[in-house]
Amino acid sequence: MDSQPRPRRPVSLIRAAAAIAWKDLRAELRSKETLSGMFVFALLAILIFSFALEFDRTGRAASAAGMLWVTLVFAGTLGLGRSLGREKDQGCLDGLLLAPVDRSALYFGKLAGNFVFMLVVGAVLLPLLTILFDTSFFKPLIAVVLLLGILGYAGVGTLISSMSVYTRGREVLLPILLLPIALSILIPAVRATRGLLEGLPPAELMIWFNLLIAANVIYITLAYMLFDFVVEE
Amino acid sequence: MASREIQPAGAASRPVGLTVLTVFTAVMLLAATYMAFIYAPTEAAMGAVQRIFYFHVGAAWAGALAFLVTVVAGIAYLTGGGRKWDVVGHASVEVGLALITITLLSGPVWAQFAWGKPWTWDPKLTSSAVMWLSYAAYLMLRAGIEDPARRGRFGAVYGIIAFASVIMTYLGVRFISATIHPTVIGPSASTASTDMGMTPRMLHAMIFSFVTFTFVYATLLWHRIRLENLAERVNALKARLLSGS
Amino acid sequence: MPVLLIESATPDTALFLLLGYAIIGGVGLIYVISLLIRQHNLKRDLEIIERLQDDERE
Repeated sequence: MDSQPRPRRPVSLIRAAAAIAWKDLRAELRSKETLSGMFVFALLAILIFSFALEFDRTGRAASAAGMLWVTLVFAGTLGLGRSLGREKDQGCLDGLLLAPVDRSALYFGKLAGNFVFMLVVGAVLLPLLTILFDTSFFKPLIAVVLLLGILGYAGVGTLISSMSVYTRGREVLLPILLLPIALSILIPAVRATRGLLEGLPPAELMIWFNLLIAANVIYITLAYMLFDFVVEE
Repeated sequence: MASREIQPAGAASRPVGLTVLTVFTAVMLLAATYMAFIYAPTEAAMGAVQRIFYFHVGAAWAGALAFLVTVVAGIAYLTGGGRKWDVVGHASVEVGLALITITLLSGPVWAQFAWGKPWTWDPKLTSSAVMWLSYAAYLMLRAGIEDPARRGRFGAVYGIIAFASVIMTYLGVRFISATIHPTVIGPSASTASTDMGMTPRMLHAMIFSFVTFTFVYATLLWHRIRLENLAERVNALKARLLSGS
Repeated sequence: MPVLLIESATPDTALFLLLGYAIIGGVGLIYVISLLIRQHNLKRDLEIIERLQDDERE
């Protein structure tokens, strides 16, 4: 990290959050640990589900939307666990907390980093699943659903993983804590994706987009307000 | 529990109010059972098994109330309310989880005869399942943290998020039936009561069950809070003893 | 299978009613018993501590 003289006025929230996010992304560009783990996990999930569920052609098409989100959830949970875990283990958390920035900068910065990681995995999954499931994921609105769903999942996941790192058995606890909460994001995300894949008119799917947006707003607002209480000493 | 023997010096004796409440609640439970089994008429389509509904719904309502209390307690705790709010929130989750367990286990017995199958993924059932899983997770979260202050904060935070998620899960599933499946999967619990054409006596039994379970919740909560206070006292004494004072 | 509505006959589901209430009562009882057990253990711990403190004082 750069050694800068202590700023005389507090750094703006956005600048601080961006700095935190960029720190994570840069670290990842160097080590590529987290992303590679997420990818491998996602591929394994697809493999296992494909064999375990043994779909015929129509079955595969119907389950494609679900597969996308299940694999994203698996990979995303892995990434979330590592993101905050690394922070705490290396003692960076204290350093970040001492910095003259709003605590929520830490939340948004972590959220941005987690969001980008999941987005990268999602971007690779789209063409992959298009091939494997013989159904085109390349529709602009699917990208919108992807963005909203990942944002919501990372939004609530960042808050919850910041708690699970403080527990004994943190890796085990994160999915237990996160998945019931995330269901309310996954339901509209899967429904919207499936509708789009089946070629339903977007107007019919508005309810799912609305639910996704509402969930995002509610979760991220709550997480932003509650994050302070999690990281305070 | 209300022993006539001499209490150890450290344990507070049970307040009269709690004894009265416990007895009163026990009486109400008996009365509610009478109303469910005898006072209310037998339902025509399902027969006797429909009577489960009274307690099933009563427990569900009390469970939801319990988790709402946890949200309030969580907010109070986080805004500087003090440890007692953490105790309330924790106790409420435990009692609530027991109530929801009753709900989730009794429901399928009723549902098998009401809908022909023990489980569906309709809004109420799905959000009840999410509720159960979330608050079981809450207890696991608390169990995994050693620092009491952190345990309280995290519990409060998770209790709030979990409640929000149950509501949103409910909304999410509600719209599945409306859009994808034009024919409703099966009557939901609330419409079933009107579909069954609740006679006045059934309504009486139902309302009485609601009230009874509210009292059951309050009684169990109070007992659980006292238990927690006792545990804290014991732990404090243990700590003092071990540090050789 | 959906229950067929036969006008005259109400199905005899009394056994399942008992099963349902057994579950309700059973779970409730289990919880209450767990409370009682925990309280008993705590009271016993308290006694032990008191005794230890008395021993120390002597």
